[in-house]
Amino acid sequence: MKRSYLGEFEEIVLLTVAVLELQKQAYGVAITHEIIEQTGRSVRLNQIHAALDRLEDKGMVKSEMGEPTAERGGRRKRLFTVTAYGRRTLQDIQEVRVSFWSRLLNPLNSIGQRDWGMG
Amino acid sequence: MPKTPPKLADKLLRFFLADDRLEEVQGDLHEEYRWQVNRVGERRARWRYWRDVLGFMKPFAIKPRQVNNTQNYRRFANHSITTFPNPIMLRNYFSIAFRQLWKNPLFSSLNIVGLTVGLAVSTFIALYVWHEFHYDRFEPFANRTYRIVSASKYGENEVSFPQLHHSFGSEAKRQIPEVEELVRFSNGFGDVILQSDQNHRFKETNIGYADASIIPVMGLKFLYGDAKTALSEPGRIILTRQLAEKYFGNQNPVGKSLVFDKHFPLTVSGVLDDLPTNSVIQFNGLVSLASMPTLGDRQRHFYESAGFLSTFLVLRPDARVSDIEKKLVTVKAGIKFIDMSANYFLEALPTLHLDARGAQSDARQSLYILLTVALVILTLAVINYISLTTARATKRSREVGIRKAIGGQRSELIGQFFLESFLTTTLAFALSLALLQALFPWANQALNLQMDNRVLAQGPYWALMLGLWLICSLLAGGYPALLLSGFRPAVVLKGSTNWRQSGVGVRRVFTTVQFTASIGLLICSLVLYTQMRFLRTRNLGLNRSQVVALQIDNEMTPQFTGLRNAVRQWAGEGNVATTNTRLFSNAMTMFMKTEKTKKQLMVNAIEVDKPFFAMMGIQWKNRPQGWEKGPVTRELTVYNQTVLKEAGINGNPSQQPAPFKGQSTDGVVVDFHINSLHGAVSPMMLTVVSDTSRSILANGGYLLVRLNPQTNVPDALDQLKQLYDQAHPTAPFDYYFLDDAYNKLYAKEERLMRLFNGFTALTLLVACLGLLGLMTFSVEVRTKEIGVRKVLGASVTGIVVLLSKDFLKLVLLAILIASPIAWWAMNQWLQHFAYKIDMAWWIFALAGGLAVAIALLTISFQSIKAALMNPVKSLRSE
Repeated sequence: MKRSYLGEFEEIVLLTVAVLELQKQAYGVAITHEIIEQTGRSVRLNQIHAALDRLEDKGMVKSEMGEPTAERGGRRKRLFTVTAYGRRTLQDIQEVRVSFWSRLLNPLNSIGQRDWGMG
Repeated sequence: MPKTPPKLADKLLRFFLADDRLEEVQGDLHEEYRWQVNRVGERRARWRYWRDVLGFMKPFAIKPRQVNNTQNYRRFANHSITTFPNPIMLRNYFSIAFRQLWKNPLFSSLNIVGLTVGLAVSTFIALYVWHEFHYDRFEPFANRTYRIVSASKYGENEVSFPQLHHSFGSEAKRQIPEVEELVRFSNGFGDVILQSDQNHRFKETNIGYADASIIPVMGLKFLYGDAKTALSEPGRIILTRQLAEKYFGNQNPVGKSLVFDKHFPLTVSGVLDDLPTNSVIQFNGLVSLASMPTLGDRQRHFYESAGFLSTFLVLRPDARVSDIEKKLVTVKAGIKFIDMSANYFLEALPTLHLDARGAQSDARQSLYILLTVALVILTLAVINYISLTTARATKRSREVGIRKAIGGQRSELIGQFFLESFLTTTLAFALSLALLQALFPWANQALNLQMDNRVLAQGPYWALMLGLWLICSLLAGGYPALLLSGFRPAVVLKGSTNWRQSGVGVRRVFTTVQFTASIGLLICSLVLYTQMRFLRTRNLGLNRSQVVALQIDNEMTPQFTGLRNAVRQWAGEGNVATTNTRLFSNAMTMFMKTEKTKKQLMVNAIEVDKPFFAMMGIQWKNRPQGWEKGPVTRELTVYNQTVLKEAGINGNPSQQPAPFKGQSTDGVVVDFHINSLHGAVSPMMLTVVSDTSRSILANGGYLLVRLNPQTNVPDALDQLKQLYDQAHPTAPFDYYFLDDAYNKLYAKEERLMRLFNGFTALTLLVACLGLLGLMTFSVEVRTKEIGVRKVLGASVTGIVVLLSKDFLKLVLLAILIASPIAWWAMNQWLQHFAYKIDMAWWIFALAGGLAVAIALLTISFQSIKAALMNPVKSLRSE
């Protein structure tokens, strides 16, 4: 399977975008707070922006400008959404993990199957 | 409570962050700041703010966003519009243009040859017309130099005389204070014999007379001699360079002696540079006017009694022409030879060539015709270029499509195609320039034009060329550039066939126009030819074939009888006649009033001897009494029928009063022509003199000798020369053939015919080049169609007809348009002749047939090739 490499931090940002885009909240500050809240890491705004930039370069998210709000001094947000490619990449990663986890939890299952098949 | 983040940090952010990120990043930072203020307090929030801002000092944030969505794409495109003279693109255009020229040698050469020939010819014509319109502008006082013309009434017609007696000019200058300078000029009376030594003795024409003032007024340029004194004293002569070289070689002839008219030595006082050809004042040599009375009886007689001098006045700048004209009427009272009824007019020097009274009124008209023809040829050449280029252009639609698809702007494409036509026209221009320089002398000679080489070195010529070049490039490039650059990339790249139709209608119109012009000119050429043949072969009432006219000098009267008898013996009694008139060139004209009808007639008066009538084959209406019985012993007066008709005499003229008072009527001859057939036969009075008469040679005469049709002409002339030389001649042997003289009467028409033949050939050539190009293209486009037709069983003939039909229709249409126009134009031209042909239907049929044949021949090559092509080949290529 061939797909572009996705770093661990990028994966988390991408997942966060996927979660927040439903409430149209997938923008810099919200993503940062969400990640801090969920992972407890100290993440800074510039790191999130850089990750989003890379993701957009890879074509996994796309963005458009949203409505201006008062707390931002009348400035617009850049709202991100996950592209179809981004979504598939997330699923691929998940599947790989699931398959490994299933083998880890039932080690005999997978090996036994193979042996029986040979025999 | 200040809720705004630190301003300095914001400034810093604005400074380094990419512009298109600022809004979102700053927004996020401000939102975060608010949140932090609520969570950790303002002071720590400010610290955090600073840390966050500095955190954005990363390469990704400094670079602008590079994301392909539509909004940003436009911004990107706007930034990347290339300024047109982009050196890299220019180089590309040039190389593409040269590749295009190189890749299609047939089309390129058709294009360039067509343009080159068209340009060269139309420039040549334009030059000639310019030359004709710019006569006499170069003289220092051209704008205030005038020629005096006297106009007198004879019956109903006013006749103007541009030549005046010498005293008129000098009196005018003496009596009218506004006259600053006077120039009297005559270009001489026929031939003059000049001699520098024994080996250099020639007959010369145009040895004129002039006042010394001609040198400053006409701005004559001297190679040798002093301009101030060259004509200031009697007995001086100045020569043109050509004449000086003929007599004295390359050495300086100033101070040398030249014998004028056998007896009168003159001193050469100067040599002139070649005279400008665009001047009405033309001469080969000039003798000071004051010396004229000392140059023999004939010159003295002329000087004293004839009006022979073109009289030019240089007026003061403030003088009014109409005032001077009035004053000139009073001047005439003081001098001899007055015509009390005469009026005087002043004609400005620059207008003399085209607009003088008594000049041919159609001079200007024929220049305009020439200019029109030049324009037509140029238009045809440009049209040719346009139609060939657009026909080719459809082949390049894919290139246009791709250029547009990868971001080429329309303006860039227009620039590119303009550049290509500029290249082609420039190439054609360079070639036509070379062609013109190379063929200029030849063309002048072939067309018998008096035009200077110097025209080629003048500013207006180069301005004309430059203007033509620009206009041609713009015109020729404009339509193809606009048409081509308008192709829609989606349509042309898809390979749809619609684009093939583009410009077809325009090209059809072009082809029709080209053929209309060439067929029209073809008809004109045919009419000209038929009329000329008619003039040459028409029975003149006098048999002019194989007649040599031998010129007899007036000083040869004593030897003449002996010479004539010798010639009679040599040629046969009935083959020799004498006359005092140079037939078919100029006959003496007298104004006479008829007795009965009181009409003023311009009568040609000629003197002849008795054998003249039989020898020249002139028919008698009423023979003089005793004509057959013996030689003429007294002078007989014979009229032609026209005189009798004008004088209202019917029946036997010898029993009625004579047509003119104080004259008898001894006989009447049937009308015959001694002038051109432009006019009807003029009234003629022939005086028949006896063999011993001397009056016939008073001003020189001509011995007419009819040669035997079987004679070898050069041998006969040699023998005649021997006879002449034995008679101790006072002048060199000089002769002309009546046939030649008659043909020379139509020199102008002959020239017109040659011009039209040339133009016709040229327009046909250009039209055929265009047709060939279009046909080649049409065959290329339809290769597959022809293949399919052949597979389905079409015959070769069928395909040739299919391909030719379209173009033949256009040619037929052209015939229909051209015929009435040409008929009208030629009908106008034929009105100049009293004797003219009818334009028969066959002329039009012949022209049409020729055009169709030529067109067919042109396209047959391509169409037959296409029809014979193996369909396997044409269908296989995809």
